[in-house]
Amino acid sequence: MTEEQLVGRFGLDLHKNYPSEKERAEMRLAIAGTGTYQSEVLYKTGKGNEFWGSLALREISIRGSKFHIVRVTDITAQHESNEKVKSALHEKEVLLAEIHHRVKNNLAVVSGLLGLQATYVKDEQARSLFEESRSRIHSMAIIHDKLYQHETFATIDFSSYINDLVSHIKKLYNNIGTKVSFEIVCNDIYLDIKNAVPCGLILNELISNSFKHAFPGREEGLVKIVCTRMGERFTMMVSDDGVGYDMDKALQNPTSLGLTLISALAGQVNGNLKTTFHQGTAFYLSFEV
Amino acid sequence: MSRQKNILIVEDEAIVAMESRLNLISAGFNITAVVSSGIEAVMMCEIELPDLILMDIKLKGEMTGIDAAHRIRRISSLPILFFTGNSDARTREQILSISNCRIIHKPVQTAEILREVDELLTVN
Repeated sequence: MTEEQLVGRFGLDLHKNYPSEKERAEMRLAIAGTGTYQSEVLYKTGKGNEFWGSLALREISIRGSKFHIVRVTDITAQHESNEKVKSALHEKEVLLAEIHHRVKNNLAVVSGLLGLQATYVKDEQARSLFEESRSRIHSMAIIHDKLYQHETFATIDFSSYINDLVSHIKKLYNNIGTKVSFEIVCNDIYLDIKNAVPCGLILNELISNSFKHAFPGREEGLVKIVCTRMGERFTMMVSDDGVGYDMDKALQNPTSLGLTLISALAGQVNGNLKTTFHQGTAFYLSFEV
Repeated sequence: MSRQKNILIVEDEAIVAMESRLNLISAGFNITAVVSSGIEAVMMCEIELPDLILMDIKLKGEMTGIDAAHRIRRISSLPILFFTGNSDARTREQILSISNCRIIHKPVQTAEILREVDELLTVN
């Protein structure tokens, strides 16, 4: 654009899309506040072409009159490159969401296969083993569901996870004759999939154990789940007010798959394990996240 | 309650559909059909309405379970139980905006699916 074409024209006239009243009000506010204004603007050239410009405006005063010093730098290449990055990121997010959805669906299929197989099993105890396996699969499926919902696809809100897991396990054991209540304390703790899966599986075993063994003949029972994080140290405590049993001893020489899993998964996260059995059973696991 | 009710299953995962069918038959329900697309679900409803539809969200073809439910609502307010692996807030909102619908999440436990079906059929 020549000097003659530019002189006497307002800068806003060179914008491809003339700014709305709201946008102009924001510009005025910025200039009145700091004396400067910066933005990325799509401009039009004298020949009608378009380019992205970085607009930097400063207000100055000369002998009582106000003037604007304006600098526009062509950033079309940089803008296009940013747009490509944004588009690639969006595509990656869509793919990740699809993968988590697919994993969850595949886990549902695996669970369905076990369910179908169980229908050919006559022995009640053997059938319950199938149900236990399905519950373990479900505890993993919830993690993928949470990852799918979480915008970064990297971590899950562990409190939300625990609530969903508890709700799921409660449904499995709603015929045991004991009304089991839960107290869950887990504020603002996010775990990545590497730690969430073992913790979820351990929780599944411990909560199921409480339902199955802690409250024989009782009308009511209480299970507490408390998770804390101090710096990089994550601690998970699961306790019940049931009959109590020496879990330390049982973990040293596990007689069930559940106990074997607890021990193995605690080792997987390099966790410290501690259990007590006074007025019920309590389990503590802590590790560096 | 009486279990002699007709249920249409709409699910594109054959294993999940097969298990649901078996469980519902064992519980005394009659399965009118198992179809894998939304358009088939709508067509089945136009031929003969079931008492309840058990339906996934992501199905074969263009039409989702939610689209199919909207189409079915033009001819009936029959209860629809969605079972889905997709539980984000937007999907949940879309489902709950359809009358007489509920959601359960995959993998679904047999007891859970039977309880939801019973409850939906009782209130309808």
